[in-house]
Amino acid sequence: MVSVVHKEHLQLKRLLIVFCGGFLGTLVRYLLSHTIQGILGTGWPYDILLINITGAFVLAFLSTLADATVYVTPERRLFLNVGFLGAYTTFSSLALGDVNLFANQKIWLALLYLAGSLLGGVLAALTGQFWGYKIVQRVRARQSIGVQDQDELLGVHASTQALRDEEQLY
Amino acid sequence: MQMSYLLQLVLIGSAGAFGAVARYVLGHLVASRVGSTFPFGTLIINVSGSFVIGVLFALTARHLLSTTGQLILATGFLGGYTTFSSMSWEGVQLARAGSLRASVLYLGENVVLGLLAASAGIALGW
Repeated sequence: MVSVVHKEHLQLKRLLIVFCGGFLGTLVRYLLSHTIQGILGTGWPYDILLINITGAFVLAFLSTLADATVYVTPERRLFLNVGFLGAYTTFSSLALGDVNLFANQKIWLALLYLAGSLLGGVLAALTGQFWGYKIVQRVRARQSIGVQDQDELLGVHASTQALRDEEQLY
Repeated sequence: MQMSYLLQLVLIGSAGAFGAVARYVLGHLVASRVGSTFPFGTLIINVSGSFVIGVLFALTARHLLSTTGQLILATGFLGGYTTFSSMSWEGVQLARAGSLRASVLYLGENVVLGLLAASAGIALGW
């Protein structure tokens, strides 16, 4: 009984963390998209391309740190990766923007947008992962540490231990 | 004027926050049901979100939905619901796990099904 209540409390807390991250990520995307369109115009979806590629880079960087339990706790991963970056980047606008380019007979621009997004996203994820590993290696080298010391580094509480396995997904 | 802009920002942000929570919950549900390492959750989320954004786009073009409504639902909710960063990351992870084929298949499915879904949504809403 007690554990059920505890778990529900945890669930609610997790949803709240994702909510807050999602709120901020959506606003940053909206405001940044406006700013970029103001500078470069609305002829081509530079805004979504730039937002998606930067987001893919940071997500890969943080996920690599989180997988190695360096600096990024499960809670921070929920806030930053699932909430903020998940909402900051977007797929639906990419799909709609591309369909509209095709519909307006701008076939090459549509293909360029698609290829640029996919290749850019994969390259950004690989680069982010590379720099993530660099940081992990540096931390590991500075102090050859055991699991308990890692938890000190993270500031992990006992309750977050259980989250770790479940959040490996993200 | 200033106040209504601020209100609009809060509404867009809140809609995106609900979209992010919906993605998180649905992603967990799908992962626990499917029990496979293939990231079906993000695929379902991106394809369904692309379909709905197509419908909203058509409804706005027909003046059945205001541009503010489109901003809140499409830019806000669907923007927070669908995700590009997780898709890229999952694509790279599939390749790292040794299956380049699964990686290409996954990214290709997202793009092809996403574009088809957006087109179908536009057709339905028109």
